[in-house]
Amino acid sequence: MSRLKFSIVRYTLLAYVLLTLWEVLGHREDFPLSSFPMFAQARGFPGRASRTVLVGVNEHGETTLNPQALSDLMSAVRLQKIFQGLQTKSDAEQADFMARVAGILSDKKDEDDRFWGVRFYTENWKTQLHLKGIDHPSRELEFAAYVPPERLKRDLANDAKTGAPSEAPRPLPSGDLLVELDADACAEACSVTSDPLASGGTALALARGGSLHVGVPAGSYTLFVRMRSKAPPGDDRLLVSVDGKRVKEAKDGVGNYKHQLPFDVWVWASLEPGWPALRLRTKGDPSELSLTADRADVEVDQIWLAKSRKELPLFNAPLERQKAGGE
Amino acid sequence: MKLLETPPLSWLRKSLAGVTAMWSEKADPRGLAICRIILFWHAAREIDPGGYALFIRVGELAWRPHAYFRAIGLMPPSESTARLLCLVYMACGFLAAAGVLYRASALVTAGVGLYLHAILQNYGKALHTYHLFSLALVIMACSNAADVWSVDALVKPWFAKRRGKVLPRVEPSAEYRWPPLFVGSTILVMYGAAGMSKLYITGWVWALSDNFRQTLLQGQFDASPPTQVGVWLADYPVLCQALALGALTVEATSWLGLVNRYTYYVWASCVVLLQFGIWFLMGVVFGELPTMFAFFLPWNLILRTIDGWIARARPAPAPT
Repeated sequence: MSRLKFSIVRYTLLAYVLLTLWEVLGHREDFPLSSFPMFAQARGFPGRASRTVLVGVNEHGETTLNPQALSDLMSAVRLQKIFQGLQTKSDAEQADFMARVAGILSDKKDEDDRFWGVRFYTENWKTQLHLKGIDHPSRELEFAAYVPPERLKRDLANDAKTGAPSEAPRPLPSGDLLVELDADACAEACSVTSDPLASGGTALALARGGSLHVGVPAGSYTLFVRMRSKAPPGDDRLLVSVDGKRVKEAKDGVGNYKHQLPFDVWVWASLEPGWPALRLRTKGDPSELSLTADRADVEVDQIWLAKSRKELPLFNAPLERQKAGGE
Repeated sequence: MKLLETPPLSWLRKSLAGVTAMWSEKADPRGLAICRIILFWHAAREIDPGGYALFIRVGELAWRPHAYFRAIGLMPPSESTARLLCLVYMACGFLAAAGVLYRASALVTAGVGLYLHAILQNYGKALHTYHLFSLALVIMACSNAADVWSVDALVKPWFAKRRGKVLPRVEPSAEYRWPPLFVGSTILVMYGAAGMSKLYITGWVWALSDNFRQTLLQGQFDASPPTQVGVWLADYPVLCQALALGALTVEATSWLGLVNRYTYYVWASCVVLLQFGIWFLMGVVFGELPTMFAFFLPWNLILRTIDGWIARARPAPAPT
């Protein structure tokens, strides 16, 4: 090896050493230089451990996903950072992004099985000796996003355009409760209205501040409301109370779908699309379930109290009770 | 001159002499060729163009350029460009591993690799696994790693013969020593920086506290270590502190591995053990690093030993 080459190699290495030292002293993080600060922060014991869990959501419920299903270069932590960054973006950008993610995750799936939501849960543990409690982390939903299913969008657009239902009523799943609303359910600022797209041709119209109430047997249910509103996004909601107390899991009420589904037609709603549907536990037999339109006029057609379904349906057709001895 | 014979200047002089001796050692060209095959073969297989393109698609909104990317306004490539660059990277990686037009194929692999790996650092979180790997590709691209065991080495004599020339036999030289040594040194510098960062950010408390205990247990909760030895260790706080102190000392002092050939191999062994220990106890795999540990191997010794076995196994020529 020539003397010159030897000198070049030696001084290049020296430069690399000095630049790395500079990175360390400056807490810098560059590429390909770095201070390599992995695990540099000290943690106390007992401390906390947490893990990010990505799930895809469709009609069948939640499916835990490996972030590498998005790309083999992806990790849960990196994806979480990407989602955190996303929250500063506009609604349109967020929707575009979520459509991409759900599209990749749902690739090669049938239309009905495609994911229409992505959620990030954080599982937290208090680290304990002998791994005590490892099977029982506390789980928090950190981020949820909704990708309106194409089929639902088509049906809603069709209803809005033609004024005719895209689909015949669907049978109520066995074991579920369906509340058909009539004048008896009206409480305040509420009236019966006729509509050919409503179940039985009538629904309840709640003026702003109006409410309705129905009796619900004791049990545990997922609440879905078939509702319609001309209100702008954010005002398309109904506050939920059981026996006079606001349901704390439904801080923003049910509805709130217009950001993602901007149609003035009947829609099955629960908590904001993307979030798990609202679970209700009623103790009294019956308990009084009240819905209040606090921000704008809202029409309500049916209330569906599901036993096993946990996610929003892909359809907007009304439900009908199965006839005795029928299917 | 007498001044140079007194400590600490005499130590400095000896250290510099040690460095020079280490870098001037003659090495078997086959050792470098093996490193070339391992590194570029790994490069050709480590990126999936489809996965990379999807990463670009998903990450687009999270693009947060750092340092020089921001300074010179570099933007991420489009999906199709990324896919094309990955294909170029893979193809040239395979060519470089096989030693086909090595100088060109290795330089393209290193250049494209540097860009592709740099892009991945701009999505809100550093991916340290590629820092040294990218540098190793650049270092190897500047070396004569295809002088033996390559397509170039097979073809060159044929071209030389056509021109009526005879190529000199490839002999051991320092030319084949510096590339693996340089790559190995970058690994030691990385561990040195990691140790210094711990000391600089947290101090000795990093080791002399319950930090390591927590880290061992935490790994069991949020990762998947191959064993539960960490759970057992966590029951012994003093042992945990001793291990943490050992690890921190090895890391922070790994710069000493650059001083001479003995310290080099001592610290190389230590950091390899450390890394495998981290995997064993905490399940942390540092991406491309295990592949790069091949550069630490004493190839001269290994090849000499294998040559000896082959010579012994070969039947002795019949007496004439």
